[in-house]
Amino acid sequence: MNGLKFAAALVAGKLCAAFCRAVSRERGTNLPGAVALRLDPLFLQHIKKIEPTKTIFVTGTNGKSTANNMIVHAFQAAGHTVCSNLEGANMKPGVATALLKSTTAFGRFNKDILALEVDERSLAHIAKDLPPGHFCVTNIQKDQVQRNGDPDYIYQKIKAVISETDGLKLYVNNEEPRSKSLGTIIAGSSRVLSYGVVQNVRSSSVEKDWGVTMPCPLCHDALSFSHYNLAGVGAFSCKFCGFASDSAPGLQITAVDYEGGTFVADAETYRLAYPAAFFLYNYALCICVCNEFGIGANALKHAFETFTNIGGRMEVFAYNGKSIRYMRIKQENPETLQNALDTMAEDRSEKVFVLGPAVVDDIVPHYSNTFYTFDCNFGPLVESGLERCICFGSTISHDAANRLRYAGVPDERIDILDTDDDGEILAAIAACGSDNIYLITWLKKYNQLKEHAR
Amino acid sequence: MSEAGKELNILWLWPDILNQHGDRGNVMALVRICGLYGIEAKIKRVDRLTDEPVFEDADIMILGAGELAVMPRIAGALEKHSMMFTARLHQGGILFATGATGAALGVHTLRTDGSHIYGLGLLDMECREREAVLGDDLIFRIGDMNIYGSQIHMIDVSLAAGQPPLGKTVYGYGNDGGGNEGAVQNSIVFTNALGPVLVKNPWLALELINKALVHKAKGQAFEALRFRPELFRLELASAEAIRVFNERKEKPPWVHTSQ
Repeated sequence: MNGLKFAAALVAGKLCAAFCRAVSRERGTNLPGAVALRLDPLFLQHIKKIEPTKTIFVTGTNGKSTANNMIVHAFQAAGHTVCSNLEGANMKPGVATALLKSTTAFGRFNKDILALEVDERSLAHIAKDLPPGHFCVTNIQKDQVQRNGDPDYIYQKIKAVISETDGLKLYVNNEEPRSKSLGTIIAGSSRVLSYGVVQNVRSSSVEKDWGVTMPCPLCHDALSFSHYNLAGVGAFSCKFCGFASDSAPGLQITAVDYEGGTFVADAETYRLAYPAAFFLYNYALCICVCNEFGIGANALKHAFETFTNIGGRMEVFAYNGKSIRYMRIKQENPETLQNALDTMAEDRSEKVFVLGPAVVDDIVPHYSNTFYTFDCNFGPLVESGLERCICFGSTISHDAANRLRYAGVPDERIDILDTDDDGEILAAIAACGSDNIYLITWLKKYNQLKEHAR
Repeated sequence: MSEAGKELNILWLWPDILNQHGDRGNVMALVRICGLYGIEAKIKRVDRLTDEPVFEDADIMILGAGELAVMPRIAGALEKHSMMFTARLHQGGILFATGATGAALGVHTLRTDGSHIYGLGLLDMECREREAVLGDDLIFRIGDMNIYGSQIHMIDVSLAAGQPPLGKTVYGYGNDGGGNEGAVQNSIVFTNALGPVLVKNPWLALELINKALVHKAKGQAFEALRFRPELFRLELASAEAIRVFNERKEKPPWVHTSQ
């Protein structure tokens, strides 16, 4: 009976995938898998020849898509065949869809490696059917509070999967406390591999007076950070229980040269094609995983030379002779906002900052959350030279303006556009004296503005 | 009467541990608003749980929103200093707490895994961790003030008979969807509202500051700080925009609205 259900699911899923491909290449990252799972809820379990030792999961709040893409590219560059959900469909139907493409008509997995980006909330369901032998946790940070509440909610979910999966190797971010602390669950340090990045020229110090860190994930007392490499990621210690980042994690990126575009890991020099701090952690995780699979430095160097990031954090579009730099962030995710602010602050020339946080409209009820902006430090951006700020949006432009005022931007330098009209927003940008323009808004609004600008 | 020369002591309790939802903004709001009225706000941070908080001169004590997981230790740390802490509350020191941190002040919280958090019982309320998070805007009324914010609801809060709520919901879920929002007991103020709520509602911040200044005046003549709309144009515009947005939006099935 199980065999029949599986066969029906496989055939239906493959037919659906073929149909989706014929209709549109962009569609069909979830539907075929959803069809297969509908017919056989244990579809993932029933696929033959998937070995946990060759199954890699990448999960975490931020960076999992990029890290997974890089890992997949490195394996492919080293001559392995890989099944992955590179389109970013990281829940169970997306995973099933990816596997449909790499399963023969007889239900056998036909690739060397299965490397998946996995949504934190779907993790338990997927890991139950496809137990990973290699489990990477990039970080566990504030994100999508309307769904997740607080980071501990996701932390507990990930912790349960690690506890319930036999024999996995765990890859933890040495400088992100929640990720790092997961290593304490597994007895036997050989199964815990930590990766990190040394303090470098773009590392920042803790914000004076107003700086807020986080509770220790083990004892819940206050953690101290000596520096940050990224928002919420850096050398840390708990003075109460002694939990701390290692000064020399298993894999550490050193000698970071953003200008020259190189870094060093395991005494090998690699090209830093994407000179951003968060990319260093992707490189570190990728090297760490590849080391375990025996992929050597030369293959990795070649992989990093040829790797192309899908959907960068910064995009540029032109309007009225001005180049508008769009800084991509995730909604309700202060860490990605902070990293965008820090990137802008590195530009010391006078600039216009266009801020258009929208209402959160993923699910009903929509709501007007802007409180996560108060988790961020706007100080360095303000000090870097802000000629003018434009806050737009029909519901929360005033709250956005107020956040900037709290950061020390004088009222007379803040324009408030109480509208969602693309033409009005672009006209206000065009009227600015400066050609150095940065934009933060949601992807949907960005695409609308870009379209209007054409 | 000029407020120049006046000062207010703010005790910011465990900001690194109670670090959720941008709630440090509430302390920023008190500092800013005090500044607008010529009052110097002095902040003392208590960072580690083993640090000794100095409650004696605290005019306003702040407990920001935190993860439920940390509440047993927060309650434990307050319990350890309960003599000084409660003495200060009895003397009129104001305690302002937000979000899930209410669990540390209530009687008891039942978690979804069956474990228990025992709070200080300063507010007569029972809490129960929700199976699913509830995130929405929250508008409620205290007296003639409307308060605008959001809420990320991890625990349902049931007030015991005799425990007054802080306010009544105008839109949103509040404590448990039944129309009550927050709790108040003498100088203890608890709200589910985030925003940060004192940033978005300077009129509420002024209430807290006035309460604190009354106590500082120790019976001497005192002229309360008046709300001056010209100082808070952004906040007033925000409140109106949020009101209209919530009036027009698609409502979730559980929402409580009252006019």
